[in-house]
Amino acid sequence: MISFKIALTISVILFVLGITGVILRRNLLFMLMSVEIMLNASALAFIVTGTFWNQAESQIMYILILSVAATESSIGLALLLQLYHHYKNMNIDSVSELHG
Amino acid sequence: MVLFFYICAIVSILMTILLITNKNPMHALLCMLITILAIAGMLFSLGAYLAGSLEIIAYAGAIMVIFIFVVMIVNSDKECNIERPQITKKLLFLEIIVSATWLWIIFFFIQQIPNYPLPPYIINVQAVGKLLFSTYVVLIESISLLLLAGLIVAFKIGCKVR
Amino acid sequence: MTVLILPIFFPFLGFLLLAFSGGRWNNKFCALISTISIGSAFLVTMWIGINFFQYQPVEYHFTLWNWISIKDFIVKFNLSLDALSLTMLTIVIGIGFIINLFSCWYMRGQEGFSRFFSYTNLFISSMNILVLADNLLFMYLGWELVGLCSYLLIGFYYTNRSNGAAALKVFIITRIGDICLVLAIFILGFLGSSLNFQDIALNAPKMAVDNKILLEWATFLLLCSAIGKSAQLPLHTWLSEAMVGPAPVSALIHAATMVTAGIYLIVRTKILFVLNSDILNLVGIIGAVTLLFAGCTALVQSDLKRLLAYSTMSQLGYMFLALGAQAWEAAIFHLVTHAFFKALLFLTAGAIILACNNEQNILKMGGLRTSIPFLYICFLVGGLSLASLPLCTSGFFSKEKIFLSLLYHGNIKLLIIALLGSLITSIYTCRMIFLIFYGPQKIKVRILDRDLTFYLPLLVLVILSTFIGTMAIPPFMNFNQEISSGKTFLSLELELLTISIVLLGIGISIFLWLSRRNFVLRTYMSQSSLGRFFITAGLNGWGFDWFFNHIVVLPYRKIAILVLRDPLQNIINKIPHMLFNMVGREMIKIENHGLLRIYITQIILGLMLIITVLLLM
Repeated sequence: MISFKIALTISVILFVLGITGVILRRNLLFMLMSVEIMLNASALAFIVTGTFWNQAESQIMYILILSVAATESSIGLALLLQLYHHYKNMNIDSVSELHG
Repeated sequence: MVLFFYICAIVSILMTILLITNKNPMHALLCMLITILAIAGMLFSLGAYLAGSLEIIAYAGAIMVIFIFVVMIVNSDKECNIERPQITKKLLFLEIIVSATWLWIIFFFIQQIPNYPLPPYIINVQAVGKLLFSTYVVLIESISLLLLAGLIVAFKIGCKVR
Repeated sequence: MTVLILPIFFPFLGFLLLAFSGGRWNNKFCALISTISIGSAFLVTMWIGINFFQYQPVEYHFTLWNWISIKDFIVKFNLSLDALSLTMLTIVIGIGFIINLFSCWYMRGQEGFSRFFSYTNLFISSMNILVLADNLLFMYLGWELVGLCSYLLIGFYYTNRSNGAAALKVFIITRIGDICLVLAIFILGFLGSSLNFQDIALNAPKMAVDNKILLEWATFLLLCSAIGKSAQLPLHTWLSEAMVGPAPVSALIHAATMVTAGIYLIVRTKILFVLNSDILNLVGIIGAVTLLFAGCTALVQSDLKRLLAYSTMSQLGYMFLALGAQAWEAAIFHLVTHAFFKALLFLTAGAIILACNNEQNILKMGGLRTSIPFLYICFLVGGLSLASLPLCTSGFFSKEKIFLSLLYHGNIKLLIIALLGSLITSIYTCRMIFLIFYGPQKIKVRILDRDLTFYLPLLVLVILSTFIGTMAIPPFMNFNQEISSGKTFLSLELELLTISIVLLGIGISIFLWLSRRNFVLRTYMSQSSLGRFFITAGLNGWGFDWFFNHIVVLPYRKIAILVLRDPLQNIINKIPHMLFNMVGREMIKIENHGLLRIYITQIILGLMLIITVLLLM
C-alpha cells in the first residue's frame, strides 16, 4: 500500500527542489525548468489527495495546472528568446536595471 | 504497484537534483524529461490514468519540445550559457535556510495526519469528462481563454521588436 | 404570445446592422434596412393587435428569462400586453414608421445618414421595451435607453458646439427625473418586495395601511420622474432646448412618443395615485399650471420649432390634468390624437424650414400660402387639430373628453383653467399659421424635390389628424362606458361653451394678425410696458433657466472649481511624504538591488508565513 503521508512528502520534496532551482540558478532556462517542476509537484499533490478522497475533481485541477504550465512556459520562453536577442546571454541578472 | 511508485519517486527526486545542478542545458533537459516520465509513472500507479497520460502527452510531448527548440535556437556557443559568477556562499546559505524552513513546516503539519494507506481507487476518464462538461464548464471556458491569451502574448513578445 | 418580442427585436436588429456598418453602405440601402426593420415590427404589431381583439383577453404575459434572482426578490424579463400597452405600442411603432419614411426624404444627402437611422431604430426598440415591460425595473431599462437615444439624436449635429451643450442639458435635466424613478423603485421594492405591476396593484392597499408615508413618498417620486420625462413644470426647460436636433427627431421623440412616457408611467401605476389623493391632486395642479404657462410662452415665441415645443408642453399639461381627474382613458386618448397632429406639425415645420433655407423665425416668413400649397394644407390641418376646431378634427374630440371628465370629477377650478388654456391654444396656433402663410411674402422659397416618401407620411398623418383619426384609434377597454355613464346634464352646455371658446380664440387672432387695420393696435400692445414684459419674459422662458443657473449650476461650478485643486489630497499626501522622507528612502535603498532571486526568496518567505498562520489556525 502506498502511504498517503509519504506520497504527500514526495510532492513537497519535489516542490522544495523546484524552489531551490529557482533561487540558485541565474540562467533563465533553468529557472523556467524549475518552475515546471514546482507546478508538477503541486499537481501530484492534487492527484494524491484526489485518490485519497476518490474524487474526480483532482484531475480537473490537474488539467487546469497543465494549461497554466503550458501558457507560462510559452510566455517564459518567448521572454527568454528576447533576452537572448538583446544581451546574447541567458543570465537573468543582466536585465536587473533596478539598482538604485 | 507500490514498489513501482517508490522507484518512480526516487528517480524523480534524483533527476530533479541533477537538473538543478547541471551546467549543460541539454543534459538538464534530459533530466527533466526523465523526471516528468517518473511523475507520470507515479500518477499511473496512483490510478489517475487520464492525468498520467496527459502528463506524457502534454508535458513530455509538447512543453519539453518547446524547451528543446529554444535551446537549439539559443545554443550557439557555450560561452554565453556559463554562469560566470558562481553561486556565492551567502546565497547558498540563504537558500538552505529557506528550503529547510519550508520543508520543516510542511513536514510538521504532515506528521499530524494519521498514517492512512491510499485506497486503490481508479478514477476513470468518464467521470472526469462528465464533471468537466457539466459542473466545471466555466472552468473549461476560462482555460481556453487563458490559452488563447497565452498564445497572443507569446506572439507579441516573441516577434522581433525592430 | 412569443411574437411579443419581435417589435423589440426587429428595430434592435436594424440598429445593430446600421451601427456596425459604420456608414459603409450607401444611403439608400441604409434607409431600406431601417424601413424594413421598423415596417416588419409594425406588421407584427398589427397582427398582435388583431389577435388581441379577436380573442378579447385581458392580458398576455410572456417570460423571457430571469434577470435578478436573490432569495424572494425576483425580477424577470417579462413582457405583458394589455389594452394600454397595445395602444402605446401601436402609436410608437406606427408613428415611428411614418416618421422613418419621412426621414428618408428629410435626411437625404446629409452626413451621418446611417447613424441617424440606427439611433431611431434603437429608440423605437427601447420605447417598445418601456411599453411592454411587466415590472418597474425592466421598464426602467427602456426608460434609460430612451433617454440615451434622446441625447444622441439631439446632439446629432454634434459639430456645432452649442448643440452638444443643449443635448447635455437635456440629458442632465431628464436625469433628475430618472433618479426619482430609481428611488421610487427602491422604496417600492423595500415595501412590497416585488416590482411587478400586478403585484404592486395587489399589494398597494396593504402597503397603504402598513406604511402610508413611504408609499406617499414613492408615489411622489414616481410623479417627479413623470414630470421630468414629460416636460412639466418645473423640469420643463429641456424640451425647448431639444429642438436643435433634426425635425423628424423632434416629431418622433419630443412630440409623439418619448414625452408620453411619463403619462404612461402614471397610468401604469395609477393604483398608487388613487390611494394617495393628495398627490393625484398635485398631478392635476401641475398639469394646469404647465398648461397656462406653456400657452402664454408660446404666444410670444418667434422660433417655429420652439413654439411647437411649448405647445407640446401645454398639451402634455392637458394630459396631466386628465390624469389628475382620474380620467386615464381620456388622457391616453388625447395622447394618441396629440401624437398624430403634433407629428404632422413637426414634419411639416421641418419641410417648411428646409424650404425657407433653414430660416426658423416665423416673423421673417409670411405669405407662403401660394408658394407651398401642399405644406400649407398639412400645417393647417395639424394646427386646427391642435386648436381643436370643433367637429372635424381629432384634437377636438379628445379635448372634449378631458373637459367632460373634469366636469364629471367636479373639479370646476381646473375646468376653468383648461378652458382658458383652450382659448390661448387657439390664439397662438392661429397666430403661427397667419404669420407663416398669410400677409406679404418676406422670404424666398427654395423648391424641394419631392417623392413618395415625402407625400405619403404627410397624407397619412393629415387623414389621422381629422376626425377619421378618432375612429382609427384602437378602442380602449371600458372607455365608452365610463364616459357615457359619466354624462351629466351639463355636458351639452359644456360642449357648446368649448366650441364658442375655440371660435372666440380664432376670431381674436384673426382680428389681431390677419387684418391690416389692427396693425396699430398690435404695435401698441407690443410696445406697452405690460406687453414688453410679456414678450421678454416669454422669450426667456419666464426666468426658469436663470433660476436654475443661479440656484444649481453656479454653486455647483464653484464647488467643482474648489475641488479641482483638491484641498484634501494635499493634506493626505503630506503624511506619507514625510514618512517616506524619514524611513522609506533607506528601505528602498536596501530593496533596490534588482536581483530576481532575492525577490523570489522574499515571496516564498511571505508565503511560508501565511501558510503557517493558516495551518495553525
